[in-house]
Amino acid sequence: MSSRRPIFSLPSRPRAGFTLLEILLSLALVALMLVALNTFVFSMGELWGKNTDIRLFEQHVRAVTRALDRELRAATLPPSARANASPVAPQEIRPGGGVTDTLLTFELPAGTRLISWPGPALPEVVCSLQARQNEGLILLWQSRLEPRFEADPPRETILTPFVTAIAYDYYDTALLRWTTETAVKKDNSGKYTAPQRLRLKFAYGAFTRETVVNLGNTPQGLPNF
Amino acid sequence: MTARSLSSVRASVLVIVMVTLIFTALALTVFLEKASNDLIVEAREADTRRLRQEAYSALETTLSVLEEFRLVFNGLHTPAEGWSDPLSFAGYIPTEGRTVTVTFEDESGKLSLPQAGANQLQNLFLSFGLTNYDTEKLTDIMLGWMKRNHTYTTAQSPDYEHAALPYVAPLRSLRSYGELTAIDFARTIFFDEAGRPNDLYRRFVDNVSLLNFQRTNLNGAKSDVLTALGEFDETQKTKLSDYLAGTGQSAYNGPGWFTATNDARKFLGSAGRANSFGTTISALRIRLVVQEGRAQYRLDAVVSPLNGGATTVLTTATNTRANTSDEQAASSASISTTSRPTTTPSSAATAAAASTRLNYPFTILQLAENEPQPPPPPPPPTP
Repeated sequence: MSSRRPIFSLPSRPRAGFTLLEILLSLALVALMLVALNTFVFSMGELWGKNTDIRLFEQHVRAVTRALDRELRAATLPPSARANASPVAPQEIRPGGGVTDTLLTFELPAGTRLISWPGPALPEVVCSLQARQNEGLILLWQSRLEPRFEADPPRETILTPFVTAIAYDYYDTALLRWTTETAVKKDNSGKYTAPQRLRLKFAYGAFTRETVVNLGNTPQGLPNF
Repeated sequence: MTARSLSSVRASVLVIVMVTLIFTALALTVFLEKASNDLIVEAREADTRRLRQEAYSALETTLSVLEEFRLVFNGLHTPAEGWSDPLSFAGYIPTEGRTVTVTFEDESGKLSLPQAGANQLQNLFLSFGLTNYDTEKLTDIMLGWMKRNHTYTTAQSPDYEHAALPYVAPLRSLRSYGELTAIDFARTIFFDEAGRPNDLYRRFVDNVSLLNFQRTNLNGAKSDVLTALGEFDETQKTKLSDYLAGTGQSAYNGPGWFTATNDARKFLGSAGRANSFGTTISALRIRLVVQEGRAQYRLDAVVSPLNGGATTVLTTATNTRANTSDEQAASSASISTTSRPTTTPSSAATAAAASTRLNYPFTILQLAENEPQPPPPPPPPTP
């Protein structure tokens, strides 16, 4: 028995499939996505791979600046500071084994987390900042409660090895302009004057960054910074 | 193309799309994880800068409202006078999307540590539940830390100078509560083995002020301070509490306050030492919280009114302390500088000095921005 197909039959159901346009469109979309992914992956690799050190350097610069800003603010706000005083001011300090230098000095009554005590943490910590070549930014600190506070050199903590220099910004109220000094300035009577801003210069290889920390003063009312 | 080959083409396209999507999702997840770590600190800093200005504006408004009340009532006595919600009183409207909350704590309702004597400290520590022996020893050691010419009465006197890190007692009142960690015995009373503050520390902070003021404000006095300073019994304390809060027997009258110590003495009876208290606020803690979405900024200020307000303890443990009187050690009034530097003030300081001409009505005694909040006390043990 042989089967015979009728010559004329009803139109059969169209066979399912993709048109050429659909195939082309899907290929274009996939290509586009692959290009985007390629760009994304390479840019991420650039960010977290090849330039990781630069990214970390930037982060470090911001973190150090913020930490210093926080400590200096703690030294400036009451109860650390008295109204109309200069709580952050230059002072002659003699580091251990070093020559006496005029350093920006401030006091933290409750201490700071930046330092590590050899015993129980003591209050009334007097801190100074010094930038040393090849060493970085050093925090010199000592508690007033230590019996040899005046005689012994302060302890040292390296805040960052990437700071190469400190500069001081002074605002001239007569000329209404800022000047940057590499050392703390003296007034006409020969006394050291406190700057209004601290400028930190960071360097890592060929990369350099400069940040500014405000040194506030406490007025009679609320702080003006 | 047969139906079979057609379905395999369709499946392979789906597989490609799925793999691409999974790969994209993974890459995005890794990116977000790394980026969020980098950005979260920056975002917090940006939030702080945005909200800080609002907080200081609200604080300035609060202080202006307080000054109005101070002038009208001849001194501040209690928030029940009507200044408990100063921003609403002033019609202060925060920037859209932000909320500002202001709360007060009467710092002069605590025991002034620079003014506290042995009796008051002993009463306070007894009210904390310490034994007689611990109370006497703790009082002795704390007075030895704070007072010049103190003679130790308990058997063991501390030997700070022969510790692993030698130091000396500053012979002035505490400048920070953290200083308790340096005081022998107090360290073991107020901190646990790991050096974390315990419940007694929190109770000490709640009842003792490091500020120097002559009289504790009866209108804001804490329960332990009423015991330590006023030596009131429980009946008197309940009567006073009801009167101040407008509850119990005083529910009909609403919250009340005293403006003269004699009135308080008449109200409380002859027992106790009502005369040891004052009735005006000499130091007020203002806590501001600015909230915008999940970002929060906290500002904690302690202010005192001019003329007769509280002062801070600024004297330090320099070699000049031997020449400093007890009065100087307790007050900032005669202290010339807080830190080692003694230089010419900057021009900004000079400008700040000029602000004295503003006749600012309050002295800012403490100002703390986004102080870490103390951990909540552990829940009581379940029976």
